[in-house]
Amino acid sequence: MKKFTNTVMAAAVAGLFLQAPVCAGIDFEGKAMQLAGEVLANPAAFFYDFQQDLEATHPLPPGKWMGFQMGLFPSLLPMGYGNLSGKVRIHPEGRWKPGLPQLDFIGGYWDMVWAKLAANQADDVNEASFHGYYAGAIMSSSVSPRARVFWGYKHSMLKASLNLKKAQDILGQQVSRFDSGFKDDFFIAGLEHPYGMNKWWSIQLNYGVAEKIMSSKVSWYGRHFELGLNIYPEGVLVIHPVWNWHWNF
Amino acid sequence: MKKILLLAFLFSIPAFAAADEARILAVHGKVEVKVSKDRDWAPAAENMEVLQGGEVRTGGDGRAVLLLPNKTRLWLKEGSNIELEQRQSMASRIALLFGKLKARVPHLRRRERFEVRTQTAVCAVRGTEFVVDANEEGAMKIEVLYGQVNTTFTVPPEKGASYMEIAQGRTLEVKEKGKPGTVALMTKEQETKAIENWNPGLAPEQRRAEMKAKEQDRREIRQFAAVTGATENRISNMVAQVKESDLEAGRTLRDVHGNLVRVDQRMMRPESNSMQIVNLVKRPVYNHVNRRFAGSYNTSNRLDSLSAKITFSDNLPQNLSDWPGYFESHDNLKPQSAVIVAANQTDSNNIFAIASVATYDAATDELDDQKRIYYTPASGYTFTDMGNLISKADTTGLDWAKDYPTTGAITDARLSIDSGDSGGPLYQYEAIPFCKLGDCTGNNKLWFAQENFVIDNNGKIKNVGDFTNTSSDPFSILKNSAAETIWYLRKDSAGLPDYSASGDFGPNKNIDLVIIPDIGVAAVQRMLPALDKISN
Repeated sequence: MKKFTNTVMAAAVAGLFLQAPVCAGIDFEGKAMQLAGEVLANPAAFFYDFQQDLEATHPLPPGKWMGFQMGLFPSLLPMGYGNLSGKVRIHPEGRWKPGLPQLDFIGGYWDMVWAKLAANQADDVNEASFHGYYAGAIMSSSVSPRARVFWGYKHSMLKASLNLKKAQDILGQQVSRFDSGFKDDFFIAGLEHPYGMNKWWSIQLNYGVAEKIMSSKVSWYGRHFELGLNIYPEGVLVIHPVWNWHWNF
Repeated sequence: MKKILLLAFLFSIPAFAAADEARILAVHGKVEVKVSKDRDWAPAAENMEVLQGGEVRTGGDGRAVLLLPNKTRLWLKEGSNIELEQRQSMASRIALLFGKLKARVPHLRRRERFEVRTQTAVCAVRGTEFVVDANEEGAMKIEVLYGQVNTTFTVPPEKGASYMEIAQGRTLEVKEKGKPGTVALMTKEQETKAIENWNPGLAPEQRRAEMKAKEQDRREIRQFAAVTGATENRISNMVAQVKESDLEAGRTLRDVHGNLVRVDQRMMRPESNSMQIVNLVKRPVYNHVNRRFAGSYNTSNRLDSLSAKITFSDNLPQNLSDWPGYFESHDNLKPQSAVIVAANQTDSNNIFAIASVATYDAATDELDDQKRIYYTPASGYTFTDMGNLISKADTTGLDWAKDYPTTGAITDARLSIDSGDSGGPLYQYEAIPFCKLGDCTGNNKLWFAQENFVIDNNGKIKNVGDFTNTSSDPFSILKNSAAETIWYLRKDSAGLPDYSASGDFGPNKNIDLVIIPDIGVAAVQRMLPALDKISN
């Protein structure tokens, strides 16, 4: 009878044998292929992530009425985005009426240097054009003498086109030309808090209405430089460390 | 000339007419006012007007609030003295002779100016709230709460700028007249002191009542968030506990006959000292492929089940992951009973079941099933009866047979494992003899027959090589494997089990179980950390 019981239990737990799981190392080549595939699937989105790195969506500090910004890393190097952004304060907080927030207009343009070089000098490139711009408005309001919240809107556009003289084999596909573009309207919300003279810590969220994409930025904004971490959950490279230069006056 | 003077006078009337006087809104303690330059000091009172050139001073316990014509509010702290130097419609200037004042300057008209002058500097503001602290020696401190203060030093410092713009959240401190000013970020303490209520007549604890109320609101919001989070965690833990003690698994596959099968498994805790595993096998259509033990079992909407319940002498922990440690540390925890029931429940009023019921034997310190199996009669065994069997080990209505006391077990093609090569198919046919009601004489023998297979999800019988010669990980192998066991009760035919259908105990009298390892794997995965801890 024990045999009966044992048979039943053995049948019931027939699969309960344990072996150590197979450990796999990191497959860099596979990961690179995967990333390349994601880029090919949507090249505009990939290039747009780098455009977001240079977009100056932080409000002008209190007391400043105009500012310029240039994205250094990864925009200028290594991506080769020659870029310049500007901000101008239309209304300082509380100037026209107590409680009215500060209003800044923002905007910028970039053009890829490598694309121009490739078009001019490379034999197999007919034409290459990668450029984009953004424009918008940011409003900011003090929640305390030192902390501010800000919110705003921006419209971003990117155009990427590449025309090769001869088709190239990329991941099994013959590619001789691609035209791609990106366009979206974003809502922005964030807050900033100073941690020293001319130093602010800020965090912001962006939401693209048409593409329904979200991104976030955490940045340490100083007198002339900004260090940040941009997070694009749906991007190819999810986290972008960022380094920008600005001059506000 | 007279006409010109007259016109000039007429044009200036609106300016004079529009410039209302400054007014004292509230006073507390010793506050004195000089209504105009040529008047004497008099005790201040509410709604008293102060003209251009007039002064207001507060004593050691005095505080005052003034409202200027441009709607600027001025709060004076103890020991302060101000003079309304200029009070015109488009330009106002207050001289802070000494003491501390807070000014809230509302929106000014386009060319309108408002300034606060100290011994050291002149502060021009627009739409600003700020605090100025100055003494007669020229030391000064400006704290800008909102807006911007443009400061021009009356005596340019030897070093440093003579004009500074102080943005909100910052302070400018000049320690001595003629020395350069230092701009710094406002501290939390400075901010709190500047923001608190400066209205006269308030006790110190009342000054921060508003801020404390806001702090309290923030604290309540944080507490609410914490409580909500804790509640959610508790619910998640409860759900996790329920799930841990109520594991589920399921799979759809094909059995060895090619029938589509849905297997559902559950691990349950019927009572706190018991555990039950149920394996349900559902087939919309059942076509039996005769192998060793032939018969006619085809039917539709077939339901087979295997239920195993074990009851312990003590309550078990709620969390499955705590079981290994609990068993290890509680030597006196004993199983009290075990009931295993395999059943064909296609007809819930005529269930065919084979069961084993074991109870704890203290003498041998183990479960003893008395070498019996229980089986259902020809008809009439219902779902309710089976429920009583599983839950209470109630064998009412069941027949029983005892293990045949010989070694006459017949096996055929027993576990065909080819260990040398790629391996043969994993199947087994087996029949075990029993004596009805323990009477092994005469025609009381019956055979408990089984056909056991290891199959994949397509119903194909697996080989040994499928497990040993593979690069797949174990969990993938398990996901594509199942055990199928088909049970029969066969009459005896000349000392052997009757292989034909006529030797069966009745039509549809087989139990065809497909058992998947999924729930076992899930349970072991849950217990793995504890098992690992014990082994360490």
